[in-house]
Amino acid sequence: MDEFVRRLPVYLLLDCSGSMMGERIEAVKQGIRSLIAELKGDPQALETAYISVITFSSTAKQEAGLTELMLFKEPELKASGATMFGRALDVLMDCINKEVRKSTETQKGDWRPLVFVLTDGAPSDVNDFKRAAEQLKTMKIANIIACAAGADADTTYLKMMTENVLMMNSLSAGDLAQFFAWVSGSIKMTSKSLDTKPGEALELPPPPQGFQIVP
Amino acid sequence: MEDRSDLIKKDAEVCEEKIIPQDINSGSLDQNACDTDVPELKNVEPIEENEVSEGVSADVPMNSELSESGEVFDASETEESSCENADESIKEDVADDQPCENSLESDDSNESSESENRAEDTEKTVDEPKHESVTEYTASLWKYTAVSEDVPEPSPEYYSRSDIYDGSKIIGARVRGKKHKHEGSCCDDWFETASLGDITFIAVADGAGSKKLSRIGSQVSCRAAIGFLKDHFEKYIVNDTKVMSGIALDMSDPDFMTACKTFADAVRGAVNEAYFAVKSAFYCRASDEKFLKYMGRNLDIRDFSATLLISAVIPLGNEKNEKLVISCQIGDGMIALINTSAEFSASIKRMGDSDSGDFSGETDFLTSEKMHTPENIALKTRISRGSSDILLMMTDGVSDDYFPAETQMHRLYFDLVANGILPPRQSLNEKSDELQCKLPESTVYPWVNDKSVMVAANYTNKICRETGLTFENIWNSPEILETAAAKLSDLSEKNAVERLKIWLDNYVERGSFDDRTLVAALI
Repeated sequence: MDEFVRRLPVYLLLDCSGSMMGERIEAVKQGIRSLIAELKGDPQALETAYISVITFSSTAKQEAGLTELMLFKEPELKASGATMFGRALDVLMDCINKEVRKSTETQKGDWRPLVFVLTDGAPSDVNDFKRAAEQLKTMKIANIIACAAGADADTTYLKMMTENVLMMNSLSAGDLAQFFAWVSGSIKMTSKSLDTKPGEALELPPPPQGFQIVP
Repeated sequence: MEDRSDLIKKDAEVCEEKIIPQDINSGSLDQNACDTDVPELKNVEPIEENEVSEGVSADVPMNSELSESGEVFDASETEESSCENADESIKEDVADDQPCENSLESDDSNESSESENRAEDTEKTVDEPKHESVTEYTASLWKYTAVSEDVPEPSPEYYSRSDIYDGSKIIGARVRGKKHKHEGSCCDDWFETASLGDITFIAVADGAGSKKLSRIGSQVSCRAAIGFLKDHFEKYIVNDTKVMSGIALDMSDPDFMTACKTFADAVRGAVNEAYFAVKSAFYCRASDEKFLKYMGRNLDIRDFSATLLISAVIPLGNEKNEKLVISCQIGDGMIALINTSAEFSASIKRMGDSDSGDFSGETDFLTSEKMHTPENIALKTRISRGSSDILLMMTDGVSDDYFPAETQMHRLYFDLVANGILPPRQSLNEKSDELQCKLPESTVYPWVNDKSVMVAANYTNKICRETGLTFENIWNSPEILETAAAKLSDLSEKNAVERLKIWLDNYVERGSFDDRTLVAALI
């Protein structure tokens, strides 16, 4: 129906466990602000991108539902507790199932969702994580890009959920800012090739300095 | 409002003047050695008033299935296009017409309560900004970037043509999408038309946006398909009296079925030919330094991915003015037939299925695995016999804005009439001044290529929204759209194909920035 706009749903899955406390969580908040500001200058992103934030610590929850870029309000983020990463993946799948429109006879579906994951540790709920990661990978309901931040982050877990894994060595404010700048570049670039099929390599901008692509 | 309409008038003139030279430049059909020959351009003339066929004769639905070679189109599929559906879709698309002062942060409080009342939609969240206020904002952000010099075999930005054939009048245009203009990449769409006696052939193709050489795929497959059809019909079909008389027989007659099979075979041949043309286009360039440098890696046939839509229209020459239309659609886009003499609910026939995936933009291409197998081609072949008098073929840049086809093809036809591109149906009602006043102003957006140029367009959705009319009302009162078209005053100086090009290049829908190609044939 013509009142539906085909959206590019973008989910930010952010680690808000205790280790992110202090300067780091502030840098993440600043990163989200810059990301939104940057995307607001891009007509294609403005017309199509819808943003949602899901956080995980001792629990996992959707802080901001899928929202029009222009109306997106930055959620209040606090860091504390464990890393319930598996739980977060369940929340993500739940949100995608509920919020993202699939194509039907009478309705054009949204574009395939983009998910950016940022974590500085390993899941506390390993079994849940493995099950959910496997499910996410086989369902192919989104293009996922995961970033492991700092020395403690375990990329082997991230590899279980997606082929696109990025590693940044430090969790400095500067590196986090670069991460969000790169996310915004990726959103813009992905929307250039919205018809990329699942399984085909995603075209992403080159990672910032100090970041490595995990093969 | 008065000064604004002046502005529209003045600026629309400027815009058209600027567009024309580009079109002339783009008219060339040169290029590769491995391309199939294309029939040359015929005399270019504006499309004139549509001759309204006498008597109301709805198309005869063919309900029986053709074995193996083709599938008969079932008209019952379109019957759900009730006015109720249409009405709903209008109501839901209420958007504020007020220019939004560079700020989209505003909440709903400034929206007109009048339109709000009609627009009650429980599914929509309250704080969603109106789509038009978003597109008004983004209009200034869309950049215009010319295609870079080092792109091999660039595709011309615009291409349009009109042809007067023995059996049809055709207008077709192809415009580079906003996304490609913004990024400086090529238009990936292509179309070709040709005729043989009173038979008309049309091919439309859309190169995959994520594939850097898809413009070549769309071009060579259109040319190959049309070249094959013309040749094949000339050699094997037009002189076969059994086939040519068979198509006029009763649909249960075995000779009719045999004739249909012959046409289905021709279409299958055309799709195969197109596939081989794409393959050969790939091999021709696979070791070409220019292309290797451009791609930064070895070429893959999938770099040439494109959809392919083909149709052949064969007039039966009987008093009911019937035609046999055979079409085949590989990938997304739309082929639709309109019978302007029919009742509203029986006036649209969809001639293809775009089988896309779960998410938008995920479609199949001619080069996709199994797409060019005989079974698949047969599955995607449709034959229709009836008195429809307009054939519309388009890429997804247009059809996605008019989805689902069952209810929205009417709106596309209305938009074409309201913007002076297609002639209105014949009206028995008088045009009244009252109607003139009731109709909303056209909507104006800056031209992407030059923001100082403002281009006006009429939107059926807006007309419905502001007058409370349904699609069926509009169908039954053709003078409404005629009046709307007349208000776009200086368009009347342009011919239909020029108006089509301007409209395709400038109508605005949120999230719609793909290349747009539309071929309209009065058959």
